[in-house]
Amino acid sequence: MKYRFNIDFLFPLSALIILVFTLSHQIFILPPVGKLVDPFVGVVQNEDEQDLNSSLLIKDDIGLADSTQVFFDERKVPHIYARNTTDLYFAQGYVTARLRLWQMDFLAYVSAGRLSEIFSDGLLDYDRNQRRIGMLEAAKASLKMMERSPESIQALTAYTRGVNAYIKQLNYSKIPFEYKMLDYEPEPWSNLKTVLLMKYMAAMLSGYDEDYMMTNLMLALGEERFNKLFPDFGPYTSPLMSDSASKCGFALGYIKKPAYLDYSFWASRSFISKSSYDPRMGSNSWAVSGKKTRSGYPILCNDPHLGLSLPAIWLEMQLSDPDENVYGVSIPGVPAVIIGFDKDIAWGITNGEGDARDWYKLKVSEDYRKYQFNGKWLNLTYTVEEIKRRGQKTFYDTIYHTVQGPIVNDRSFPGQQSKFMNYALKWELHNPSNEILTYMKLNRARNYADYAAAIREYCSPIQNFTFACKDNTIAANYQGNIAIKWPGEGKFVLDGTRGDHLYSHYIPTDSLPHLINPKCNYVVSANQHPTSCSYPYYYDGYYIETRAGRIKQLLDSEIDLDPRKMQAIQLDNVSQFARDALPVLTNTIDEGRINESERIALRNLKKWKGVYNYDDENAELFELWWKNIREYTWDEFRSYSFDAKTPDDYVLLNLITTDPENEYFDNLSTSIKENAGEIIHKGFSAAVTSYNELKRGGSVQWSRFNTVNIMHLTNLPLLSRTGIPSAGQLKAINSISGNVGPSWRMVVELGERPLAYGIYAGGQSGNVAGRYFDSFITDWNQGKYYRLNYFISINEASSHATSAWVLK
Amino acid sequence: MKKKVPNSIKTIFILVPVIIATNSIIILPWWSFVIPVLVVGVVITKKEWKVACFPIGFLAGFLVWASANWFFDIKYSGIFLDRFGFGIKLLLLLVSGIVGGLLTGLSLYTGRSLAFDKKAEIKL
Repeated sequence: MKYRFNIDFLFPLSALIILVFTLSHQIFILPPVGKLVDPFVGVVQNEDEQDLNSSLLIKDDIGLADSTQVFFDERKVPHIYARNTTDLYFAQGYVTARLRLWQMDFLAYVSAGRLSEIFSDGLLDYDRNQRRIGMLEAAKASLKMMERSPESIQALTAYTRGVNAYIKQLNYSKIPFEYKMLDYEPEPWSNLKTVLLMKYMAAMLSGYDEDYMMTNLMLALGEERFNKLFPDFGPYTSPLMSDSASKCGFALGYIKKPAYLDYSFWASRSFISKSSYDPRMGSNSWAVSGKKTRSGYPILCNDPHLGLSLPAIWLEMQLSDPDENVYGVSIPGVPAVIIGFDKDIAWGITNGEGDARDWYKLKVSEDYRKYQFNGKWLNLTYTVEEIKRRGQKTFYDTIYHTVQGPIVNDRSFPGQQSKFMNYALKWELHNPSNEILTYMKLNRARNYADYAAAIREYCSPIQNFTFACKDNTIAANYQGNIAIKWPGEGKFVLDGTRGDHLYSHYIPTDSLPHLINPKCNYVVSANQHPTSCSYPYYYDGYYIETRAGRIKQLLDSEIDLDPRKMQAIQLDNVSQFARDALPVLTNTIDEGRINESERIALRNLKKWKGVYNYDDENAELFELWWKNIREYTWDEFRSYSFDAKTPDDYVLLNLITTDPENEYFDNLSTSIKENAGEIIHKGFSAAVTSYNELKRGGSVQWSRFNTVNIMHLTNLPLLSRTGIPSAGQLKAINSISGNVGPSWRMVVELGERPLAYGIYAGGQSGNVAGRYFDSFITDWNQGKYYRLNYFISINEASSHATSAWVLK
Repeated sequence: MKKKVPNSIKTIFILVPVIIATNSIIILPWWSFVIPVLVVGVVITKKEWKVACFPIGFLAGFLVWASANWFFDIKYSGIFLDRFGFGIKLLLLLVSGIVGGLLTGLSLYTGRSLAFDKKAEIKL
């Protein structure tokens, strides 16, 4: 052997190379371990929050025209002071990226249907569906529209530059933890991503429809029964616009079965609708004039109920430049404040719950070249979407379009909704809209005229705006694009071959439901019907009445309202429905027929006031009882071959009081014929049995059954807060259940200086390794509020700050 | 036999600052420190230090990675690792020590294998 070198080194060297490679990459679901545990750039470096705590941090040359100051208060709410609007939005982008970069970036991927770029497996169908329902295309169309508005595009671009200035100075050690864990890196922000986030919100608020289910129900039940069980206007509506007219007009009320809707149009099939959206989730907002308040100034309250998540959907901040000084919550990734107040006005938002989606059953040729419309065969147009995939070849998806909208499910993509094959989706979200301009104008509003001008151009999704001004003007508007439809149009699946099923006009803005300075001195919006049934136009939606009724009741009973009383109203745990139903049910029970433990339960329940407090011991019993009654009554619905929702609780209560012998009370599985009384008895016995069983297993306090999960956007339990016992109930004003609840509670009393309180279920920073990640959750759960630091001047801000940045 | 112990300790004293220094240059890839460690392996072999390379390298790497993680966690007041409880925190420190140790040990050993001269061995 002449070899001087020892060949043996090849073995340890290759072992070393393999080890480095393995530890640098994601292997199956395991994150890149080596990088993560490296003390100098790994996870532990994400604990570093010195920049948020430094008394003065100067960032030079990041691209601002003038020096801009950011003051953080003790809860790390940034108060941004800029010398011009462009710098203001630049700084908002920069600060938001510091606090929430991963969240905003990730949600832009979610919205656009780009998750396959991050996750190597299993999300292609999700991405295809997002593209096919038109999210990316709609965002591009809206961006084009915004580019024509100099004011909007300037703000968007400044914000984008701010985010990118932050990304540019990041290195691996300081990129958010989630990037390290999922092993990818932040890409530059863009105006399109901002618009994608607006569309994401719009989809969350208007992405629900029941067209398919309602078609099945109308056909299965027939017109008369359908209207009885699924009425548009029940006896318990309390509309936004209070008018005295009680007679229904031509447009609203009883829905005739449209002539086209028959079984030959609808070959009956089974269908399972899978939607994570819960139509019961909603929001409250009300404004009270100074005539009803202790201070003589108006108070505005708002608590939008949205999916709770970590990082939270909202980011609190104050934005100030020579033309504006506004405080409120913003959406990370979007310029301006969305819900908030300034020195003179305050505004709140709740979801309009309008039906914004319609499905058209098409006739398409076998080869997907033509479709039938108005007696002619038209050419199907198509676009090709490019879906990039991590570690795999790019996927190209062909999407066909009709005059109505995109065909979501076709032969190449049957999807989960395989029975929706060859249907076109017409969705208001597809149309270009510029909501950001509305919010920018609201941020500068000083009076009612400014507010009215700001919301006038607001299109989508339909929202209820509530407003209060220091001069005691209060108002509410049901604002957005609502198509003019014939009665029942779009409630059911429409016929894609017919021209008269395609609507194209909107209700004129001036005719939209609105209310200003009503006699009762308050306005309330809580996802209820915007009008009574005398409104001249037909519209449809997923309205909820219980909370609005209860809020009105509480506001009526008070005169000297103040912020503290308003907080108590926001935290009110009473279910008006339980209050209405309880006497009907308990009076039906014949005490001679029940045993001792049932008698005790009944006695306790009779004393119950329908309050879903944290420690209430009767709420769960009532819930069990009512659930049984529902199940026994609507057992017919389970026998349908399609997925059917059961009628509203008030419809059932009404049936119990007015028609106790109704056929629906008969249980199909028994030989005897039951009536309402029988069902109520049976339901009670069964409920008491399960209740006593629960009692033996531990506490029966309501909070044990009403637990809240606030999940991290990745759904990893380790990064989430799960199983938080909580007060409240879906029908109560404090509407909390599962992963839905008041995402931001705000109470603002205007005056010499606004006196404001607020809290949300999260923390200011999205840094899961930091202390400001979930710092508000415990207080939020306990119903506490923070006094919001609204600073009138920069000096005030600087003297209250715990840390400060100067950006230039 | 007497000589071997001080040389091992000397090696550790050389490795620790080398790893820290390389790791601190955060623009380099996270694994860059294996290269200077490998060089150390070559040098000590040329100098004919008798060192059990893998165990000594492992020890040095383990010490630096685990204690640096611990140090930063204390410096930044340790919110993240505390979130998961003491058990997981300990596990994370252990895993980081093992990763640092394996890489250092392996690269030191590779360095030694690279420079190791069989003739020299016979001369000794």
